[in-house]
Amino acid sequence: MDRPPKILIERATKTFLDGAVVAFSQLTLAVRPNEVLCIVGPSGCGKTTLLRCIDGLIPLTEGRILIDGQEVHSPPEQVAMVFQHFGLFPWKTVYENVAYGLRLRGASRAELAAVRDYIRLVGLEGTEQRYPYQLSGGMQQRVGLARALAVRPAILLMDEPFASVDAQTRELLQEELLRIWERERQTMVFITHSIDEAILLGDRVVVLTARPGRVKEILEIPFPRPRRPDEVRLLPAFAELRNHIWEQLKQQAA
Amino acid sequence: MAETTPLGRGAEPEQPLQARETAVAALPSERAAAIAARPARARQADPQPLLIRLVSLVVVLVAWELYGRSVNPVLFTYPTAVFRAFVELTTNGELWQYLQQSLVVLLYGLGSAILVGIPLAVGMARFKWLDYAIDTYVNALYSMPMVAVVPLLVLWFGFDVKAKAVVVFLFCVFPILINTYQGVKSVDPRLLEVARSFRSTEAQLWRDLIIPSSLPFIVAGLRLAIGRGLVGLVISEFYTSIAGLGYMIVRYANSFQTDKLFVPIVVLMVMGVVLMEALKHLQSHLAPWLRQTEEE
Repeated sequence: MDRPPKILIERATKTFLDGAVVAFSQLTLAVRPNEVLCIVGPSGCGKTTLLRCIDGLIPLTEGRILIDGQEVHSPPEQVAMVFQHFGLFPWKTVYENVAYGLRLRGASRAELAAVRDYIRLVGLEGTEQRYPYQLSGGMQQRVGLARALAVRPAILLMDEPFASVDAQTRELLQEELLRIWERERQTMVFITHSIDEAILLGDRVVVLTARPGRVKEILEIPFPRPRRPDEVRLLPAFAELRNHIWEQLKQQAA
Repeated sequence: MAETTPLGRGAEPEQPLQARETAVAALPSERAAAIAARPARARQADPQPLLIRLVSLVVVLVAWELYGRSVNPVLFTYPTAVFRAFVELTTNGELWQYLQQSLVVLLYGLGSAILVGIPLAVGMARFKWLDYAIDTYVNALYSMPMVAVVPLLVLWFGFDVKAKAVVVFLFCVFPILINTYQGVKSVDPRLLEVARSFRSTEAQLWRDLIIPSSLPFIVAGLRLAIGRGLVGLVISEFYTSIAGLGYMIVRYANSFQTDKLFVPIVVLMVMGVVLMEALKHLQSHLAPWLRQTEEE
């Protein structure tokens, strides 16, 4: 690795209830700049907690997390998160939701013009004045994605973003995400339960152990970019990777 | 503590068929499919609420008229007599004179309940020490029948408008306080997390998240407060210096003018209904997404 890691997690430990619950322990991980790092692991292995610690939403019990060499104590400016539950404000329109992050930073009129571009980018042109309750799950998540992209983050944290939509929409959104990511190639940490998704989207896949979470294995994904999911899925290497990761995870569950 | 709408409403808004189908198409897919799958004839036969209510009202009035005429006028009366009394009391200015007195008391009492209740509730929700300091008193006073307190209030505040306004205030303030408090406390923690992840300041948090999220609760509190406030109004008018609509009720009851007696009663009823409906519309206007969750 020539360049310094974008995100560095050093011997991070997080416990709850005075040590009764250990989400992850002595976890060390480096995220390279501009890579998509996918994290898979059994349920309850602390991956969601880890993501929130990276975003400074939850403090670590031990260890530290560095972003661009700076220790994280509160949500950093260059990080934006996409949530599994979408997290849209029901009283704001699509436009207002996407503009939310920008408005918080006091964006000027010119900067706000970009909001429409991001809405178009995620394929929601024409829905600007609709409210979240009028949108399907897939559309809502696109709004969430647009909202995160609008603040032009250097790092995108994705918390199982497609887990709450149906399987077909999920595949569509995966393809869209790949297309969108190609534009700026932000550093991305992507948490998922789906091994397929991790292999499709990631440059590397991290397999975590069951609680307390530790890094069990890191796999390099050899497929070239831009990724074409339909082609990648047919490659023998895809199936091999998939089986390998599944074996790793099965051991944990047993 | 927030109340729900008393009658469950059907899902579709009251619109002509074409507009309704557009609205249906805008619903999430499963619901739209379920609605569209019903036979076309059944959809077109959806009853018009307004029409049915009008018919029902006419039926009730006619029945009342027929029965009322057959009963001793001292005991009961009928719509046309009430209407005649209403016209008489309006033209001689009597109704407006007393109504005005009542409205002033209601305004002072309800107004001060809002001015005190909402900020206090917000403070209690925001500052735990304030919450712990006063919640015992709030719960105790809320549970106590206010009627019992009226003699004490008369002792302290006299017989006049001030005493009446205090009574109305006490009837109104607790629903407002408790519902606003619940509203602020019930902010979705997931949205709080979203706001924090985007580095929202406290002031922005209030503007973007807490206030819009609490508004439906506040309006629910207002609806409850108005209902109780009208009760408090009449009670205060019975037990202090008798004025306003309460005075009219006492006077006409004592002089057995039953037709005139009904006029202030109907006026109070209409006031209650109008205010409640207005607030209900305000609530749906402020929180259209809540209609969705009520349907599901």
